[in-house]
Amino acid sequence: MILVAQFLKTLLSFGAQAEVTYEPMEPTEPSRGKSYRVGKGVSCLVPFLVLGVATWWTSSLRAQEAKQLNMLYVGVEANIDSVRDGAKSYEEKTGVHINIDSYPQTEWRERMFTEIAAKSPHYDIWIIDVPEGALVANHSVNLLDLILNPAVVDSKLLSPETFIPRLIVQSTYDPKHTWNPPMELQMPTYTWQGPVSMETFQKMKADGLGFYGIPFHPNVLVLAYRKDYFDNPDYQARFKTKYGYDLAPPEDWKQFVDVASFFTKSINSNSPTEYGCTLMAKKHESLYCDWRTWLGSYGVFEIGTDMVPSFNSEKGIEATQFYKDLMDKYKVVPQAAKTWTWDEVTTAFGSGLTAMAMNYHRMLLDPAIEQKGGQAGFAMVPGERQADGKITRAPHYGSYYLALNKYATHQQSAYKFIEWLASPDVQRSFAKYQFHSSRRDYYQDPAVLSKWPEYWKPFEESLEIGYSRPRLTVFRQYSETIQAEVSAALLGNKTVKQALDDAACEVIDLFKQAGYYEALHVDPYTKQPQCKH
Amino acid sequence: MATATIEVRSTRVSRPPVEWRPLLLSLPAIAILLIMVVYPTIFSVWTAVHQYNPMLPEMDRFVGLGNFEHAFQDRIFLDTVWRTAVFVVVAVTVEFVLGFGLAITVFYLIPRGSSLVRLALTMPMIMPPIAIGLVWRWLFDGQFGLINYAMKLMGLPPQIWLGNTTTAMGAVILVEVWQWMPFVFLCLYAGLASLASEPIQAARVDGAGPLQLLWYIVFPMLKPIILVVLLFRIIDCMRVFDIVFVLTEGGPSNGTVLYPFLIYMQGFRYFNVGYAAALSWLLVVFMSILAGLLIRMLQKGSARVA
Repeated sequence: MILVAQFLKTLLSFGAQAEVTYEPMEPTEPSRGKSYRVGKGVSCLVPFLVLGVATWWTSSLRAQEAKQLNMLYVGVEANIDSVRDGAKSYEEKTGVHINIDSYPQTEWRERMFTEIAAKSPHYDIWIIDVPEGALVANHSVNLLDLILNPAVVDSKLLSPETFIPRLIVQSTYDPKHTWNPPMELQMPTYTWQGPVSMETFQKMKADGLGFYGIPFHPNVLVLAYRKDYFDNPDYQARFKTKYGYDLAPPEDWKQFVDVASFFTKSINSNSPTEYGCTLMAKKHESLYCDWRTWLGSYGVFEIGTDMVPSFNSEKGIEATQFYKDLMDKYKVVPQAAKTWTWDEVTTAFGSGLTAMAMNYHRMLLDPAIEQKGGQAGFAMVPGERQADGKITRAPHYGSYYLALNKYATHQQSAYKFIEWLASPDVQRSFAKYQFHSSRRDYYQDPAVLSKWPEYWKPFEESLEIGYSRPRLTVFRQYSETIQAEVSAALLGNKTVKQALDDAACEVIDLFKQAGYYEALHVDPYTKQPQCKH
Repeated sequence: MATATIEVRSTRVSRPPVEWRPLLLSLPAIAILLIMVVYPTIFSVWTAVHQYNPMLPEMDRFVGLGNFEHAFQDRIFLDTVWRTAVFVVVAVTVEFVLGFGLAITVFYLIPRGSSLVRLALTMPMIMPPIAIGLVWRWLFDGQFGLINYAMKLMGLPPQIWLGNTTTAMGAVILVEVWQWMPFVFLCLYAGLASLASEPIQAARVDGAGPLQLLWYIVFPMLKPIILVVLLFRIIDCMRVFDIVFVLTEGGPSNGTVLYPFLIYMQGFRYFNVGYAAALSWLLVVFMSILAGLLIRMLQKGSARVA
């Protein structure tokens, strides 16, 4: 304040001096001549110099000490409670205060965008949702520089061998072009089977790849069902009589339709629930995630390695038609599901409306239903049974990772924190919050399994085979294009084939503008000739 | 001995002193104006003629009028313009008809209870649009919604209000009308209260009936207020964002994507900031033309009344 006041005073005195120059009747005193004016000019610069030195001094001090780290985080989507708990423990242990700003997913994204656009050094740590990674990678620190520096890394805390290998791949990018189709296609053997080790990181570095974040809190689609009904001897007997096999969580889509029909009142008047299942079919990210679970189970990867859409193939159309049929033909899903996302699905299952539902967290029943003996069970999402009897399941999964801001100053301190936060012991301590760990050993730990074992088993199995999203610099536009077209098909505004063909052409236009085909020297119209205009 | 004093005058021509103080005092206001208005305006023009994505600076390049050209080839943009036009016309017409009808009814038929009606009708206007959107989303829910529950009680088949393009757009219009019709009502009610009573009494003496009074006397006298209200409502309706964001998020399909929501999607979801800026400028130009026309009509109307 004093500096500002002094600065203003000096500026005003400059104005006064200008008046003196034009006042010939009262000549200035000889002692207040040119040297006086120079002196005034210098005094005007002094506050700037003082401010500059103060800023430099403060920033250099901050760089040395890092008494506080700023973290941009999402909310319940990535279990904010556990991170707040972890931050508190870290402060007690090291004295470094972690300031966490958490926002719901949409707001988090907008905040992130403004921070990056301004190249702001404010946040040291960001949580990143994998599909956004393609946009953010080149604004993040390549962690290989820190991980492969023995003076920085604590390999016991990092414990690479305990990571679920496919999650490591999720934050691995080629910095030259960060976009690619699902990693299952792009890097079919690279660290895929694991185990991950320090040599893996060395190989990544040698291959010119970048590792931009430590995997943290993955989510995967799991089927929830009414265990009390499925275990009920009366329902079991009736089901066996009608369908000729035991009532159990469905393994394939045919069984899924049978079980869902059995629990739909309009089909079976003895059903204790109104509907067999529900979906998340609103034009929303949840619809895109749902749709790709069905697509994957039919063996369709939505984009090829050449970045040409493949979701409008015969199998893709079949999978989408089946998804629609669950609402319109089999009528085992409420029509209202066309306006529902993951939130409403939680409500529908919790309130006892449906016997089954799928979601990315452990869904609970309303306490009133639980008091009457209601119980939730969990299983893997069904898949498509192949000719050889094997079942192809492709539960959609998404992962977050903890990344460091390239424009921030405390990169080493921030790395130490995320290495600690994602370490096996610390993740285990978050089990009480139902934290989704990125470590394999978490799901084998008796202490973790002592609570909700019925959930962790299908969760881990699903995570191991889950089906990840493509990583694109135009991901949101890509996803919303598909959402709009699939939604049009569900509403009956277009046939499924027409909707998927239209989506394919729009995606080709989008990827063309993004420069993907030019970079890969690919002509997308060879595979999708109907899109050429 | 007397001494003579000679006054020596300066030969320099004195210039009027420069007044620095007023300039310095207005400097903060000028700085704020430059930072908050002038710079963003210039920057948005610069952005509109560039392919500009702050997340991918390596892709930035000058495209001239390319963003504008792209807009007129973009099917989603053209559909959105048409949808927004339909929304504005329907919403403003319904708001006006209901607001005008209610103002006439309350002013002439129930003058004693008017304060209660005015108070009740002010409520939707003072509620935050986000809260309104959330409440209506649950009311419209196809499974748990109160509207469908009421329909079931009346023996009517339930509807998936937000799951069908037509009914979803109807729902957005309904919420918009519910919130802003009271504004039309209040303005017109105030207008009716301010009208001179002599022409109305004279017309009555001449034997004019209620409808004739309304059409030939009240309506022409209210015309300037009506035009101002329409100007406000049209501009407001063209800027509707929050209700769409909370109620439908532009769905189902793209059935309720209105112009401001399209700008938001391009700018904040897809980071196509250049394209979003071009779309914003197109909206500014269109709104300026429309506002200009309405103001001209208003001025003509005022001149005729005078």
